[in-house]
Parts: sequence; structure tokens; C-alpha cells
Amino acid sequence: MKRVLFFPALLALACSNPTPTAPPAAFDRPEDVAFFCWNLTTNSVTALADCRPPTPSSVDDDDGEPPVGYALHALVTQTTTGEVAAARITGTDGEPGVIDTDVRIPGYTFAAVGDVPSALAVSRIDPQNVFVLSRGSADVSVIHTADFRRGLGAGSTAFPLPGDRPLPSAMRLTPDEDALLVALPETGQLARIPVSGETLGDATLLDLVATLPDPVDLRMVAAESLPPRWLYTCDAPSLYEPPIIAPRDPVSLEVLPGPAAMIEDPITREIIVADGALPLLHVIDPVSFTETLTIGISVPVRALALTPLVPATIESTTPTERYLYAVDATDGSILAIDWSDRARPTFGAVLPVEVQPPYDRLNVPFPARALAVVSPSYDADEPIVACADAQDGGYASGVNLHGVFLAVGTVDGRVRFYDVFDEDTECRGYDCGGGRDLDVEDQIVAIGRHRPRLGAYMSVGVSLDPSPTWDTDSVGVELVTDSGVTGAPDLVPVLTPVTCDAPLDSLFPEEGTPLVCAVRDPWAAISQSFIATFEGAIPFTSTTGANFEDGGLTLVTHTDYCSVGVIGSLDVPTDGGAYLGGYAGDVVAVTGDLPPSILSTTDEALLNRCNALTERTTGGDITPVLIQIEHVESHPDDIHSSYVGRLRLREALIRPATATVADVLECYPELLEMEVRSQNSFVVTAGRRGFQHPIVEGASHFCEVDAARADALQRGRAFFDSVFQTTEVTFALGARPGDITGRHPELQMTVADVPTGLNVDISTVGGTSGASLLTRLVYNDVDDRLYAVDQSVQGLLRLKLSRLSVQQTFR
Amino acid sequence: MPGSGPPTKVRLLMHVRVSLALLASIGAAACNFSQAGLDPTPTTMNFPIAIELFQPDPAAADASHLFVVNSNFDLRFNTGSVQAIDLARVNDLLASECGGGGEDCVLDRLTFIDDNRADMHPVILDEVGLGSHADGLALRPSDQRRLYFPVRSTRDLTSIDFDPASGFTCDQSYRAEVEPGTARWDAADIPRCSDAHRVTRREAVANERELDLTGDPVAVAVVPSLDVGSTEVGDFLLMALRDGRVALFLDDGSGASPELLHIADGFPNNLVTLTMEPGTGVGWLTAVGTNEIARVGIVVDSGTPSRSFVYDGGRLRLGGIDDGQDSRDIQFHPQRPDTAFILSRRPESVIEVDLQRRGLTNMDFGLRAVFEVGRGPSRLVTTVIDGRTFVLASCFDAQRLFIIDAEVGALVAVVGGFSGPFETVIDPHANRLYMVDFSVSVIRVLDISPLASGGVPTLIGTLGNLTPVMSLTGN
Repeated sequence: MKRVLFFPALLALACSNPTPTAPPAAFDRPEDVAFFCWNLTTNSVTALADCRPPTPSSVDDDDGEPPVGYALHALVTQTTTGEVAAARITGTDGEPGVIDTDVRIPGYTFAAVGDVPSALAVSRIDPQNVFVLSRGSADVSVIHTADFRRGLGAGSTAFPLPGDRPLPSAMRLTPDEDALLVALPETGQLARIPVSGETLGDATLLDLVATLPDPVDLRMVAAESLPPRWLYTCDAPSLYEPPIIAPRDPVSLEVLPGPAAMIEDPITREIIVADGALPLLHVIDPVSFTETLTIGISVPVRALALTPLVPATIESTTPTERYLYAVDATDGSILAIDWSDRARPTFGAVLPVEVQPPYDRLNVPFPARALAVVSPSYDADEPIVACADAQDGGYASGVNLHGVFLAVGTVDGRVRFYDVFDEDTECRGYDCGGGRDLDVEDQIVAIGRHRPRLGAYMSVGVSLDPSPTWDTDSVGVELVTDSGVTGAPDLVPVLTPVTCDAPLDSLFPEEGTPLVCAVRDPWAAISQSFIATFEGAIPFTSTTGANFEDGGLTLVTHTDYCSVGVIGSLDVPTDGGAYLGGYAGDVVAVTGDLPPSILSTTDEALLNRCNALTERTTGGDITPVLIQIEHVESHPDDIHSSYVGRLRLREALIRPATATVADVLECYPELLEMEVRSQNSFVVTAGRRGFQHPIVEGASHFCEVDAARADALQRGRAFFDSVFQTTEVTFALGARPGDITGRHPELQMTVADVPTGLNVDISTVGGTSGASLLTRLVYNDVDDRLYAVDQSVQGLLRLKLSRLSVQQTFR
Repeated sequence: MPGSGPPTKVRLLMHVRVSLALLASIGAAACNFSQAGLDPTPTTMNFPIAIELFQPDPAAADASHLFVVNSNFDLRFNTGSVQAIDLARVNDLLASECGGGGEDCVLDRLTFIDDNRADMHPVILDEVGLGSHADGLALRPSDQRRLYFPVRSTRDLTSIDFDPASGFTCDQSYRAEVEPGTARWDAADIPRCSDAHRVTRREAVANERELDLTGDPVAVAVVPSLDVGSTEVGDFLLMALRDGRVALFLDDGSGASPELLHIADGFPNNLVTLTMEPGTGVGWLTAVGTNEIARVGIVVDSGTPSRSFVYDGGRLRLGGIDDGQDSRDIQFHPQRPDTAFILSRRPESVIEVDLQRRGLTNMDFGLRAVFEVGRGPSRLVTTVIDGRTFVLASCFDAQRLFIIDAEVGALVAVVGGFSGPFETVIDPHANRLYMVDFSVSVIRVLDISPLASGGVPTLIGTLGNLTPVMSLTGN
């Protein structure tokens, strides 16, 4: 009987798996997306605006559904297969989903186009046809839009692009929708192709300007004309202004222009072209097909996004400012450009936006792959709205987006948001919201233009948590008190008072004279630990392959010592007042055990000498031999090219003081395991930037201190009785303790309570997860949704912005 | 009935004895370890895994021969093999039989070049057997006349000599009975390399260092001694072992097998490939399950070369990528020493990295670009055509070859028509690409010259008999 009941139970258990399985993906490397609206009553395409949902009464009612009788659709290119797929975005249960263009063929069938389809263009007014740019086959395919829904296949007609190797990079319709503009980076041209129904005419080519105008220098602009600062705070710490700096020296990657992306300026109806080869922006009149303006911005860029007009300051009521964001083609960073008024001296200037270097780049931690400006619920004609759907502050928060924001897709698979204009500011802050903010956790509020949007409420500010501690090198951990002392004054130095220079603020102790300064600006602070180790190893100097030369007076290795920050006693500045002036130089620590050839030798005397040199115990523990470094070289001309660094050593050892390098050579006849350590100082490493230093390789290949880098606070060694200062932290150590010799105590300070910027991880959505590869962000102003294209896992994602969330995925 | 037949206990014992005897006889038949297995049919490709060109001067002349390593992945035969294909004869057949070649051009009746039978494709210069599951191939850089194979079945390095006039030399002989005078294409076997060529020498240093060469060899690279030292002592060989170790050998050029010198551990587990950075003597290692790219270096003891070491040259991370935890190959930019391309499966892409600029931390690569490729990216190769650098990624699951133009920084072509594209090699002089199609045991030949004008490479021929994967029962 038991056996009879067992199997049904097992079957029931097996069949009751509640975890939904994700459907197999139909998309294969999607890249671009465009939209059209379908009239379900007439069974035909219609203007995109017809799919605009009714204005929702609340965030909960914002479902993005068009009026009854209409359905929003998306078109998505498929890079691997050379096709375009269609997906119905809206509808009731079962209706939204990828569309099989030819139901007669098993599996999903899409419209075949050319090789590597990379861009789409569809009319917003009368989307009878879809235009598909294929980079690999260098043509534009035209597809009758309605065929995507017919179920009987969708054919395409290809029109080749002019030139031998077009390799087109971008395409869009002109504002009048009477022509296609195609970017041709190989020749530095744009092509204008007239559109007449399903037919494309002959292309007209425009050579883009290649001369480089000087970038705008904001230092030459009067203070009252500088770009305004839009900022809202509540109980926030002191916030610093980004400094006005000189524009960067222009960088060109090629000789000819390389148009990489194009966007429309809806106010001037011109086309702004990103140049991926020269540090330029090109402004094109699409009617006369001429270049009307060329702006120098110091770097080539490869993607653009333009804001609508927004108010200048928190007090302004009239929108007067516009900003153009671009992705730096050299490193994937984001720059903000003033695009407000061509009559202003600041028009086209790359703006300083951050308080930490690089000042002229948005705080985006990883290279950007895509960007888009989103403006949910925003109307430039009525920009000031009293907390749109706040309902007495109930919904105003970091995750409710009403206004204008920048979305940036980064290589780590996240979409990050930056404030441009938040309509809900006056409802934010428990103490500042006029009673409209009912959430007591919303204590500290900071909302600033071009700064990361903070998604979570902040009830405490940036702090050191826990308090600083000393690890006294196996003797125990000592807490640093508010006066800077510990319970082990003979083992570790005290922390002495310091002055905090902007943009750093006192972080420890909470009250009283500062002992530790760090960045408290909630946007610029970094959650990381600072560790200072007495006579610690310089990072990246450990090796098992050091080779003695010159009878033991030099060591050659594969380490580029100048780049990792090693300095010899005879290479330090002679000026005792300069940073590292008077420093005793770094030392070599031989950390490896005696080699097998010594340990197994029959020469007892030799073995005894070597055991004594290393103070080797029967258990095999050694005390590292310490050798003074006098000179340090990188890439010297007279060593084999497979080696990189050379250390010139003092003959007499530091430890044991009675020995010489000849003794070391005798006991280590094979390759040496060693590392470089600082001497009578602390090696300071930061969690994010590691060990900073001002050391460079000089003209003679000797490592030397670069004064400019030292003055820029690129420092990594802290000394007794002096202040240690970098751009991230400041502290000061007292006198050398009496019992510190031979020990390596470690000071640890952790910056905590750093708010994280608002972001969405698109790699894990619903039942699917995996490594994502974000490639496009497209804002659809009709349904106020942000669409992200993930080539790797999720396909097309539809993000709701009124309360940030992933609403749907199509794959 | 009581009293009829043996007592119950005795009956039970008899049952047990009979059962045991039956089991023993079955077991004896099933576990007959003296069975030799199936000898391979000559000129058969069976799951080719690696290929290389014999092309001592790529700038001056087309490659003359193509080496194909057959892994015998399904263990259908009792040995793997390596074949040397005469490419001039291949070109002649493409011209004569296929009008210059095309996607329908399949040379499937491969035989030896001295086989004059009609309707055959005599392109194979020579063929010898080596252990099954070879996992790579490297050539001696100086003259390309010695080949090195990491072989999983022997867990060691096999070395074979080659002469473009006469073929392979490895003291080879037939295992099976072959009548004297039998044409090699009619023999029921192929000659196999002697055991002396299948293992490396262990001399005093190996014993002193207590070296134990175990684990799965996955990759091999040859490093001329002058690349890492000032004294010519022969060639060093680095062999990556899957479990995160790298072995060092020295081939002193005397003709003997290489000598095992050192094994270093501490590298990431699940190593996949080993690629030498040009001119540095530093090998870069890719691995599954980590976002770190490890480096291995050789330090030469110039006084006693046999005491040279390998060392861990440190790791760099694919930081900032989602999530970078599976790298399958790395290739260096042929024209820019500060650039490398990493083939990643998470995400499935080619990642261009800056070797000099660091990323978020000093341990992270500086990222330049990420190019999407197809599912299951497996191997990477670069080439320069008319001064432009192209990066080609074979994607096994997508069954396609993805081609990136490094100058424009974009995917420019996707070539399909394959079943299991894997390792690839390019003849830059002839603008020919040869690719292992693992799933159907053939070699694909592509003309990549159209890339010079923005076109798409074309399949011009297939070498071998298209053999879909069979079930283990042979049905």
C-alpha cells in the first residue's frame, strides 16, 4: 500500500514545481529597436502618437497601455541571423510577445535583411515602411511594416550604399521624414538618401568638416555667465562646487571625421552628429544638407543624448537650459555639454560636473555602452508641477522618476540614472518637504544636476564605520579613540589632529577636532577601506623570479618598478621639504625559503651559515633578509628585453646587519623569491585606487619623483610625525612608538554608509539570469518607457520609470 | 514436500554459487583488458581539434602544408592522429574540380599523395598516430619542423619531427599486422609514434624537484630561449594543465624529446588556452570560472638552463564586465603592442583591452570595447588585410564565424554554414582561412580576401568526409 501511494506522491511533487521556466529565446543578438503603432480596428499601421496611453491618475495606474483599439509594437534587429524581428509590446494576457512573421515555417521566422543589421528607422507619422541599415552588406533594406503581422512572411528590398567600403555606422530619418541620413565613417561623410514610399533615391554625399576649432574655455567666461547649478538638498553635508578647469587637449583618433551617431535637435530641427574619430560635433541642416556648425569638444564621441529645456536653478520656473550628453570614444566616460543658447559664450562647453578628478566627466564607474535622456511626465511648457502624483508625498522617492533624467547603460550590465530635473523635489526630505514627505527615513536628500540619482532614502550620512582600528601584528586589534590614541602606545602611533581641505570633510571623530578627513559628498564618496601597513610590501612587487647579477649587487626581475612606485635611497628628491625628500628608500625583502639545493647540501658549514642568515627554524620559518635599494630602474637599455626592472643594492645588509649581499647570493644560488617594502613608513592602499604614488621613469630609466604628481596628492607612503594627504583621505601619524621595530601594524579605516546610485541590473530579471551585454537604450516618449537591448540574455527590456522596474522582457 | 530435493539452505547455497559463477563469467567477458580496440582507417579525420600551417615565411609565400590533429574524441579508434595536408594539391583540386572553389566543393575522398587511384583526392603527405585527446599543437618557431602536442591520454607532451619532403618522423610503426608491400592507403592501420616521442625526459632536476606531471594538458606554447635570456640553449616549452598548473620543458635541439624542468601551481583552475605575448616571453592564460587572466613567465638560469623556472607573473581582471567569469582565448593586436582581444563567454563577446591603462583598480584591465559575438564563442584569431586588423571568433553553438573590424570597432560580418566551428588558422599571404569543423570532422577552407573591400569571406572548400556525430552504439 505504501508503495502504491509513494509513486503518485512523487509524481505530484515532480509536477508541482512552482518555478516558471523561461521560454527559449527567439532573438539572436538583438542590437537596435524602433517602434510603430497598430490600429487593431482597421488592421493597419498608424501614427505612433495614437498609442499614447491615457494620463494615469497614479503610479499604480501607469500600465503603459494604449487606448483601446491600438497596440504598440517594437522592431528589433537580429545581428547573428541578419533579420528584423517584431514584438507586440502591449495588450491583454497572451497578446504581448515576439511575433512569428511566417507562421507556415516551424519556429520563429523574422524578416531577412542584409548582413549585420545595425540600425532601424521608422516614421512616427506614417510608418508604412521600415528601413534597416545593414553594416556588413552595406545596404538599406525596406520592409512593408504591415507584413510583420501578416504571418505570411515579410520580404525586403535592398538598396546598396555608395562607395567601395561604406561600413555605415548610423542611420535616421530626417525631421521631415523625406530622406534617410546615413553615417559613413570610412570616408568621413554623411549620405542623404531621398525616400519615396518603398523606394530610395540616389544618395547625396556631404563631406564633414575636419578642421578642429578650439574647445570652449570656461576659465575665460565671466562668472555670472557660467552655467547655473541646479541643486536640491535637505540636511545634506557641505557640498562643493566642481572647479572650473581648462578644456582637455584635443585628441584625434584618425585624420578624417568618423561620424558615429546622429540625433535630432527637436527645437532647431537640425541633426547633431557625433564624431568617433575627431574631437568634434557636427551640426547639419538636413534640408540644405550642409554643415552649419562645428564644435570642438576635445575628444571623439560615439553616442549622444539631448535633454529638453529645463529650469536653470531650483528657484527658476522657466526652462532655459539644455544639455547634450556624449560617450567619450577613448574611454567610455560621459561628458555633459552646454547646449542651451548659441548666443551664450558657454554654448558647446564641456562642463565640470564632479568634485573629484576627472572633474569634467559624470560619476560613472564603468565604461558606458549606451545612453538616453528620459523625461517621464515632463512637459517643458509646464515644468513646475507640485509633486506630480505625490499624493501628499506618498510616492516621492528616488525610484519615482518624474522629470528629466539621463540613463546610462554600462558594461557591467546596469542601467544607471543621473538627475537633470526632478519634478518631485519639493516633496523630498522629512524635515524639508513641508509635511508632504511622510517617510522619516528620507532625512538627507541630495538631488543635483548631472549627479547620480540616489535611489534609497538616507537617514545617516557618510561615515567611518567601524571606527579606525590598528591590527597590531598578531598582538591584537586596538580601537582608535576619539582623541586618536589606543591601548597600545608602544606598538602603534597615535592619530593627530588635521585640517580638512575641500572637498574632504571630517569623518572621524563624529564631533570635535578632525583626525580623519574623507569625501562626504554623497555622490562622490566611495565605499572603500584605507589600509596603512608599517613597512608593508609595495603592491605588485612580489616575485619568485628575481635574478642576481653583478655578483649580487643588482637584481633583475619582470616588474616595472617605476610604474608600481618603488624608489631607491639615492633617487629621492634632494629637497628635504619635498614629498619623499629625505626618504631612506625602499628595501628588498627576501621572503622565500632556502632553495632545495642548499637545504639538501652535504656542506654542513654552508647550511649553518644560511640558516643563520635567515634565522630559519626547524619548522621552516624564516626571517626575511632586508637589503637597501639604492637605485631603481625600469626598462634599462643594458639588460635582456625579457626583464623589465633592475634594483641596485647596497652591499651591506639592513638585516642581518653583519651580512652582505654576497652572503645572500651564497645561500640563494637559484632564483629569488622577494618583494619590495617601504622603510620606516607606512604603505597606504585604498580599496578602489590601490597604492598611489608620484614615481615615474626618468629619461635615464631611473625611477624618480614627479613633483607635479606629488603636488596633485598622488601619494602612498605615510610617515611618523607628518600628515598623509591624498584626494580621498587625510590623516596624520604621531611619533614612532618604541616597540614597533620588526612589526607590521596596520591601520584600517572603512568609509561606509555611502549611498548607491539608482540602477537596474538587467542581467537577472524574472526567471532568467546570465551575463548581460547592454547595447542600446531608447526612450519612447509615447509610453514614457525606457527600452534596453541586451544582446546576451534578456533581449528587449521595457522599463517603467514612474516607479523604476522592469515591466516586461521580450526575447 | 518435506524430504524432496536438497534442504532449503543447501538449495540457497547452490543458487548463490551458480549466480556467482554466472556473474564471474559475464564479468570476465566484459572486462577483457587485452582488447586493442579499432585501428583507424588511414586518412580518416575523426574530430579534428587543432590545426596549424607549415609556413616558415608568412610574408613571402603561401603555406605549403596544413597540419590537422585528430583528437579521436569519441574513442572510436584506439589512437588519435596528425595529418600533413599538401595545400598546393588542395588548390589544384579546388581549381580543377570546383572551378576555383565554392560552398558545395567537398573533397571527401582524401588519400595520400602517392595514391594514383582515380576519383580520389590525393592531398595527404603523411599521417601518424599519437595519443587520443590531443588538445593543441605548437610548432618550433625556428623552422617549424618539430611539432609539440599536449595529449590527455598520455598526460604528457608528444613531439614529432616533420620534413615537408618526406613527412613525419617519430620512430613510427604499425600496431596491427600489415603485410610488407601493402600500400599505406590499403593498410588496416596507421603507423603510430613510438613511446619515446610520447613522453618527455625526466632527468636529475625533475627528480630533485619531485616533479609529478599529472592532470590534463590543455595547451602548449614554444618560447625560444633568446626571447627570455641572452644565451641560446634551445627552446622552452610551456604546457598548461587544466587544474591550474604550468609545466616547463626544455628542448635543447639535440633531437631527443624535451626535458621536464619545473611545474608551477597556483594558477586559476580550468585553464583553457595559453598564448604568448609577442616578444616578451610571457604567456597569458584564460580559464573558466574566473574573471582573471593569469600570466606565466620563464626565468632562465643561464649557468644551468635545466634549473630554469616558471613563475606566476600576476593576474589582471576583466573588472566591470558582467561578469567576465569565463574566458576562452586571448590574442594580441598584430599592429598595436598595447592592445589585446579576449574571447569571453560571459558575456559572449570579444573584449578589447588596453594592456597599459588600468581599469577601476590597478588589477583591472583598461577596457576599450566589447563586441558581441554568437553563442558558444570558442577560439579567436587575428589577421591583417591591407593594413586593417580583423578579429575572427569561431562560435561553436552559433555555428558561425564572427568577424570584427578592429579599425572601425564594429562587427562587420557573420559567416555561417558550419556545424561545429572551432580552431582556426589563417594564411596571411594567400588570405585563406582554415577552420576545424569539429562536429562533422572536416576542415573548412574560406577565402577572406573580400574583407579588403568590405565584403564577406566565402566558403570555397571542405576537406574530409562530412561525418555527423554517431551514437555510441554505432546506430
